[in-house]
Amino acid sequence: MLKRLVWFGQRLVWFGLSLLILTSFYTAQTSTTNLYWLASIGMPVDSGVVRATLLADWLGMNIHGEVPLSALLGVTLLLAFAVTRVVTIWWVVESRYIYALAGAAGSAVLIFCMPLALSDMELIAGARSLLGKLYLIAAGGVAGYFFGSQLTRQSE
Amino acid sequence: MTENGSFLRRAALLCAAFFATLCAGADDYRLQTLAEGLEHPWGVAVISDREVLVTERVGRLRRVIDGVLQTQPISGVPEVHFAGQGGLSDIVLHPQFSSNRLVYLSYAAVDANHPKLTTLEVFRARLAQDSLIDGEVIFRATPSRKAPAHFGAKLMFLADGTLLVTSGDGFNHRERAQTLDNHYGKVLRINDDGSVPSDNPFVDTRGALPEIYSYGHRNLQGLATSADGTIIYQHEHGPKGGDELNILAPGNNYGWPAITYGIDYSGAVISPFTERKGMQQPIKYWVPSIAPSAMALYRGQLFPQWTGSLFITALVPGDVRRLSLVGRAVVAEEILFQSLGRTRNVIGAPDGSLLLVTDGADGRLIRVTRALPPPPKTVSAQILRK
Repeated sequence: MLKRLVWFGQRLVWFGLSLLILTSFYTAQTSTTNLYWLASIGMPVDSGVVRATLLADWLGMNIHGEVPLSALLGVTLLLAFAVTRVVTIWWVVESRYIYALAGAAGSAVLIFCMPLALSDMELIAGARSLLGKLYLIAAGGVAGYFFGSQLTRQSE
Repeated sequence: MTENGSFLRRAALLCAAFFATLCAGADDYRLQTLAEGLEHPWGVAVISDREVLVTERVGRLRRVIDGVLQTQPISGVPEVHFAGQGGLSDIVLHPQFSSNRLVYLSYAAVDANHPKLTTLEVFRARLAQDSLIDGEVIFRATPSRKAPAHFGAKLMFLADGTLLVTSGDGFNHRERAQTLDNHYGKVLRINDDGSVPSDNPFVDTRGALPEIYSYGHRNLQGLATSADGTIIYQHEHGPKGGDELNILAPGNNYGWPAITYGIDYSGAVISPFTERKGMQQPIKYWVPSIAPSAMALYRGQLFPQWTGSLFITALVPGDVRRLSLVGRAVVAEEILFQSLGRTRNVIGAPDGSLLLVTDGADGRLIRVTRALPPPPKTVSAQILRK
């Protein structure tokens, strides 16, 4: 029983850390996109503004958004990882790679499907450009890679 | 001494505004439903005390005569793209409508060259008995957009006979509100035939679209002028917070999205800045948002205590705001008609009543008229009566 609890707790922590990585990538990218444009038109974007905006976006997007980003990405990763777990029953691939793929796919589905559900409106400002979309897909991959790496490390 | 005098004058004006607010009690007016079952009504134009035109966003133009909604819509309305926030939007009558019968419609239209894109168009036609004739598109916003949102689409004639058209930022293109090579997030000024007035502020600016009158706007759905026509009021939806009431002037930059009092729907900071040299400040802003959808300056005699007030319909939570003005400043705000829910439009009728339109698939046209006989003319008499 205790062993099971430890097993579950470990995965919960790894999942939480993966989510933390992904939300941080998302919020940082939105901050960067907005601040980069503001700086480009001559607004006084200094290091203090950058720090404050990064923090405000991390808190704001994860807590104060119409749909909190942490919830949205949490569900996305949960579904992606659950499907991957089922797939790995039959297909033996090193966890870090298949979970990286799952994270990237989950992120891609989210950023491409969200506008479809919102009359083509891009709720995540950083996802409005193709480069931004690619970055967010890669961020999903990084989060998945982290989760998969922990599984691999444990199995070794 | 001068400062004291100014302070006293301001205090007196604030007191007057406060008492005027008290005098406009709920028992002074009654709400009379003129028409219901309107499908997403948007724009209203008053032809006479007897006749009102109402646009429905689905693409119909309806006529209400003597408080009866005519079953047959007016024909000849251009094909509109009814999706998202788009569809048939505003209607305005030509200043010489009684002689030329010209009406102007704004609406979201599918881009003929790119069927997946939509744009804002302005259409001019002559109102015959039950149809629009001699219709032509006199303005088309560029570039087209993918998301059917933030069209703006408000129309208003100025005293000089030119037409103001508001064009929203298209939601996904907010940064382009700061550049002059497009119609996103702009107020545009055109002649009544769609041509560009030679005195527009950017006609001689290289790379700028000549129709642009002001820029740096988000989604603008309210326009009104002061009684003497010298002040143009404009309001726009902010994102999450930051709805603004501005005073328009040619060539001005209103800051969106470089400065804003709102944050993004995602919770992100759009801009950490709220002011910047060269960018105009609103005369009032709302946090949280009220989603201002239309505006009218009350000029009637039916409610003397409301004369000179700005009425702004609000979609969220659903009411009408009466703003008392002193000069260019808003000195008081009163919330009215909360029972109506989301209100889409407001306009003054020739008899001094106000016409309101509620939002939604089952929208209503409502007349606000007096419940009691008109009050004595002086403010002090009204206070005594209370």
